[in-house]
Amino acid sequence: MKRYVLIMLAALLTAFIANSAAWAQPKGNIELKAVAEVEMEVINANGEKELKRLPASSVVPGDFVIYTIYYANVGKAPADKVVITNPVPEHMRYEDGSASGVGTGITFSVDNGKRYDVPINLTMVGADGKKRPAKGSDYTHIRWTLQKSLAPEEKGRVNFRAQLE
Amino acid sequence: MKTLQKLMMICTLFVGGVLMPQAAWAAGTASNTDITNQASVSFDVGGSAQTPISSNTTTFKVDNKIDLVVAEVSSGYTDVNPNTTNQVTTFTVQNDGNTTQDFALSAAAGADPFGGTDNFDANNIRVFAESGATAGYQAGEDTATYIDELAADGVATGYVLADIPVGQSSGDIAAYTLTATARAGGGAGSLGAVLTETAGADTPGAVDIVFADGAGDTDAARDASHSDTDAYRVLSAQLTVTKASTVIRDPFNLNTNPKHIPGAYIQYVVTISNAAGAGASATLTTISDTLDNNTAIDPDLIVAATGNPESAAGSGFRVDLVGTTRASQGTPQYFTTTSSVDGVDHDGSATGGTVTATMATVLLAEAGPGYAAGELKAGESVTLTFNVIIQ
Repeated sequence: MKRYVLIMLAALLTAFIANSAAWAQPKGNIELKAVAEVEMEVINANGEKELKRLPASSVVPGDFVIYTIYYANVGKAPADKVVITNPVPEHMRYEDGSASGVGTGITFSVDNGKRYDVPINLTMVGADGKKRPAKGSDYTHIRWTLQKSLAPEEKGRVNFRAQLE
Repeated sequence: MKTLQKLMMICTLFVGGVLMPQAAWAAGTASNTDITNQASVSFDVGGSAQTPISSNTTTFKVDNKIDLVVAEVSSGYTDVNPNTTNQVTTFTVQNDGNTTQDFALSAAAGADPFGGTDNFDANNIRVFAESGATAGYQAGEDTATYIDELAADGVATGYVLADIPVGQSSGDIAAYTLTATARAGGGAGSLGAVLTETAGADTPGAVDIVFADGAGDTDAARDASHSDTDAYRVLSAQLTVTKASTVIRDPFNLNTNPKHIPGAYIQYVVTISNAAGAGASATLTTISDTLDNNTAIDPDLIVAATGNPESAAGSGFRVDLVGTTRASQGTPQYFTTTSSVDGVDHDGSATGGTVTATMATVLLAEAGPGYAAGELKAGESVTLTFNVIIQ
């Protein structure tokens, strides 16, 4: 009998904890999908040169890779303050001016994500000890801040290009 | 609380690869390196920060980029003498790819890259790779005929060796092109297999081979080869030898209109010149002159006007250097007719006989201006003066 009560209590507690979590945070979720592609020049049916995007796999130093991050609100509630962050992959160099994303503000970091800012405000200390404006190749992270809330089922994408060192 | 929320908003989670300091990337990222990317998103729902969400990770392998540059080192002709062996032209081979490779070497007759015209072929063309033991071509050391295991960004030295035929004259040109071809690396001590560019679609997850080299002197772009050309230019000395004779004194007219009569002195001047436009120095060995049996050597080299020795009794030979920059040797110099070690000698015959000048002794080696023993540079001449007496 005593044991039965205990089990009941445990079950109640578990239910309570689960419910309390649900109350505190209405269900929300964002799905994020990253894709890496390369642009290949191909000749189309009309004999014209055409740039075609193919999944990145044949890449040698000097080649450019296009990274696209697809995002979608797959939850039941609007997501606010949505911030997508992508470190520039190791061995890759961000191509100046390549980041884009409709309805987003784009900032960059040159210090492994400690601080983000627009390019004009980013500086590096050069070999001569003097400050110089940061270049795309100095960027360590890219960040897209959505300017509006992301409604349920709403989706979008951001992207950037980088060159393999 | 507000500040905390802001902080939470800013603090998104980075799951992507840790960034390394950016390295120099002349050759680029090594093949077979996995390049990964992962994005993350932070967001609020209903005013509360949510656990950041990470994307999938994209991964691709860096393929094997084959790229190389062959460059001739001297940027000008390699000057050679006729009838010489193992004449060396030097090239560098740089691995601009992203993988350690072997490089096969080959040489073929080419076109003069320096504006002249290739007009002969040298003999016994060979290629060798610098072993690294001693800089410059060393016959005993640099015996490999390919470059073994050259790392990405690495530079190796290759040599083309040739023998120059004896019949070539100054200004002749023979051009040779060194072609290096990337071969599979990985097995030290042997030339790797021929590389084939991966045809068709990329092989995901595998290291494909991509030829990325430019066109060289005689090879096409993207053929895993590169080539450059150097040229041998034959430079030889242009020697002229003249011998002049003048009656300078006879026993009766003395030095006024002297005649070829017995007892008269005849002065011989032997001149050896290397033309100013010659391409090379000459190395003189000996000058020999056989005297007529009706004459006898004048042991004192008398002066026409006085009949007295020009320098000293017994100094029968005079040597003048013209155009020389030898610093240690004055001009003229006198040599005895009796000593056979001072450089110029007469064989001692009472009449006739042979005059022999040993030029290595007459024209000394000098480190400063850069003379070898017996060397007569372009534009220089040497004269040997002596008298004979008509019997």
